[in-house]
Amino acid sequence: MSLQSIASVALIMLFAVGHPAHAQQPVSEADAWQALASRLEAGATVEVRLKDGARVRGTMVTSDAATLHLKPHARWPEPIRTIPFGDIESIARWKEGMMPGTKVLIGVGIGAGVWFLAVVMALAAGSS
Amino acid sequence: MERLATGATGQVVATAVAALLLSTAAQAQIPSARPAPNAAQPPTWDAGGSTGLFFMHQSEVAAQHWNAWNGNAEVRADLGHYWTPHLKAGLAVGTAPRFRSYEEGFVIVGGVRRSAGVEVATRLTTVAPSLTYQFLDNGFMHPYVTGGVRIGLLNVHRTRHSSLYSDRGQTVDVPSIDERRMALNARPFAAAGVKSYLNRQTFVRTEALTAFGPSGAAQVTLHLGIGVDF
Repeated sequence: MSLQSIASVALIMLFAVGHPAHAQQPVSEADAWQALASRLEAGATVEVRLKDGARVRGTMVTSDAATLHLKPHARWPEPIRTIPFGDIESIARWKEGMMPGTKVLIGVGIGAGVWFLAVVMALAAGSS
Repeated sequence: MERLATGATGQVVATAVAALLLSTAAQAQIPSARPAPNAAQPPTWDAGGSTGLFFMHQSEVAAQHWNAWNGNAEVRADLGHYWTPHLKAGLAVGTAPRFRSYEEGFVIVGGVRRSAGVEVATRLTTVAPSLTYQFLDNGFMHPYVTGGVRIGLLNVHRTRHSSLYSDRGQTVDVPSIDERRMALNARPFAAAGVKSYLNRQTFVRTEALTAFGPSGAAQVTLHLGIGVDF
């Protein structure tokens, strides 16, 4: 048996024995969220869902070993919230979209346009 | 001596000016720790105007009526005060242009039923005190439910031209009518809507309202408006 073969067998055995052991290691959810939060850049806008069903959207300010500090995206300024990683159900990136009022006005505009078009088409069909 | 006194006075004035300048400069350098007044305090009042569709059941204007709804436009102004972030007391004033409907009526001429209906022109002006519960906190979209009373001043003008019906030897003179009456009614209402913000203070309001009369739903409005928190 050559040195190369011995090394290959040893590597395979190491992989076969070591990999399942590694997979079975329980990963704390809080640690996982902490790891994720540590990789997010300051100023990232995120949506955090909590285990009690609440949802917080805001700008990530900083995080430490146990908590995430988030400036909530609110109409009137609110203090920075400190959220323990143990309370977090999910963290996802979030992008601030159009204001709800703008969406309503666009929807009403589209509705009015469709209605106007239908009336014009009905009148045209009636006159022809 | 006089010159001396003048010199001393000048020194005192110069010292006072210098002290004042120094004091002003020192004050300017003190960082303002006081926040701007109400910087983060959400406003407790809102006001708005809206327009929309207004439907009134025929039973509101005529004793003899069909099961019909009269549609019209309505404009409304709203003012509200938040007692808490969720509870608001409000007052709305609305009016609809005069609209026409028909009150049924008949005369029997020679055994034949002839129409003798009355045209009814109605105008309704309402004042509605209300209580609103607003859902969610400090968001850009707030659904709400409202309950209150629509106090309506109903201005009704009933008209009919005189006519003469003749059939099988019988002649019936249907007299003309020109009556005006004012009536005050109070209708409890329930409404649901959403305040959707365009920015921190300006919002678009969409709302559906139903007011109830003695025989069920009597008035329905669908409104779209704009308003501001202050």
